Amino acid sequence: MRDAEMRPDDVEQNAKLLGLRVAAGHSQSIALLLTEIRTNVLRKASALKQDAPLAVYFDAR
Amino acid sequence: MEELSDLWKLDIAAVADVISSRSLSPVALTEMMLDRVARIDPKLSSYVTVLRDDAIRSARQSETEIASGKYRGALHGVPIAIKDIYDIRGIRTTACSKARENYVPTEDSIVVREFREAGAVILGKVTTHEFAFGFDSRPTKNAWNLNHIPSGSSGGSGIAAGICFAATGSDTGGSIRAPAAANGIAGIKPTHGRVSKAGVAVLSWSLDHAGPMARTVRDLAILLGVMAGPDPLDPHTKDVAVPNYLAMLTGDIRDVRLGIPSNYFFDDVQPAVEEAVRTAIANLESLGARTVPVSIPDLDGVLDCMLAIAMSEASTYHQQMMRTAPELFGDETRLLLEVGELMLATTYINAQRSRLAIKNAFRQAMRDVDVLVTPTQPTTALKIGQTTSRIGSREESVFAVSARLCAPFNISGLPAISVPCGFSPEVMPVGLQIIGKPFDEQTVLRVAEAFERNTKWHLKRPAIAA
Repeated sequence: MRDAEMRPDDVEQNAKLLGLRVAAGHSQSIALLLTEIRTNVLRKASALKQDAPLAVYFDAR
Repeated sequence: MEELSDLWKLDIAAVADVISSRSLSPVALTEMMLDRVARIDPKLSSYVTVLRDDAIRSARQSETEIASGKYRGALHGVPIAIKDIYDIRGIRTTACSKARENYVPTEDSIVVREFREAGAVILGKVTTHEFAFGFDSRPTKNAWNLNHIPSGSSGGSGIAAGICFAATGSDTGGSIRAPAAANGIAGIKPTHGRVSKAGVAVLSWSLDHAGPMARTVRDLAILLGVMAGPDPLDPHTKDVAVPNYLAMLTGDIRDVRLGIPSNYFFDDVQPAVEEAVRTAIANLESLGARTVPVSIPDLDGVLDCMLAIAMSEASTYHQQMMRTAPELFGDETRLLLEVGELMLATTYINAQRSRLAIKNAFRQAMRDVDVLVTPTQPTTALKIGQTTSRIGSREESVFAVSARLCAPFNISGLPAISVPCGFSPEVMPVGLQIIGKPFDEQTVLRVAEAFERNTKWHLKRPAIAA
């Protein structure tokens, strides 16, 4: 499984929706990093059982 | 006793002996160390803030207490440094960022409070990579070669140069162990939940660990003994008894089974690093420990999981500042925070779910061993300005190469130490990483200290310290 590739245009559009001012010249690097991380995490998680739990450090004591 | 001007060469355990016997004045020791800071640090750039007056005042108080028989223990009257992400009441705590340059805490972080109660003398605040989010710790330089980075993010400890006896560090993807390895000193990232992070600037709530850095494993045992324990102000901490770490350093490791990974941890490692680590493993075997080959499944993508979690959590922590004044962050930090802002919630959650699988893979791999032994870093310290590292055919970013062998233990939360185990042909230090089971820091320390007893790497000093 692979996430759709992010492009600099996508980064700028999403940042605008979030009210985030992306630094000049960052869009390309952000798109590359996001695509790589999202794809690798998705690949790793796709090997998990669907009901594999979420690890969090919440303690209800 | 040695000359006063040579006392910087001692470890805390040795200094404590002369202080407790009243053969050494904490004031004289602190003045000596402050003089060294003034002489050496302009070349190294470790200190952000030197607290000369506070340190002398604290040393005087220690001297008075010790003279009246109120000796508090091994840290009493010993000068240490604090990473500039730990709050100190009334002292600017900048995280080495313009985004926080005017922040003056009104309370001490819990660890600082614990060190004060133990009688330690705080010399000042030392550098961190901006908000602990990286590995070069500008503008600090490596004590062994000023053209190289000290690694990071706890790169400013100054311990290798002998301008403090110990320092606090924090470790989200290797930030205690990587600079320990790069500078030929010792550092331990305890189990997640072992040490309070209350009052320490957040990089990533679920990956951050607070821990000590020092010259020897004995010193780490002393420091961790003060730092460890549950804290109601930090919900991550666990109520697990803290043993007397120092008493566990018997030098006897004949009962210990060392797991030597057959995958991942020796892949794409510099030859000089692998040679030093394999020699160290043989040394541990010569002391009676048994080696067992282990394979750890599920490590593919571990670095991306760490990055997805760290970037998402860091961006959450800095979300308001990223809306109001993002230009206050350095370019590199801002880029990482921008990526975190645009990370999907499902990516973050999948990374956290994968984390449990990775933790279980380590648990399974360590079923028949007591510790794992690996290199701390794939390479010795990189040069200043270097943006990538090439080992064989593998080219990777400074971030990736620095986190590759350390981050699995932030993901799994397991305790991990780095101790010096050799040098490259370019005379740059190499670190040995020893990893334990959850809350079993005592075995990690015992193995590391046995190695230290049997070697002299921890006694080597860089020329800048002379």
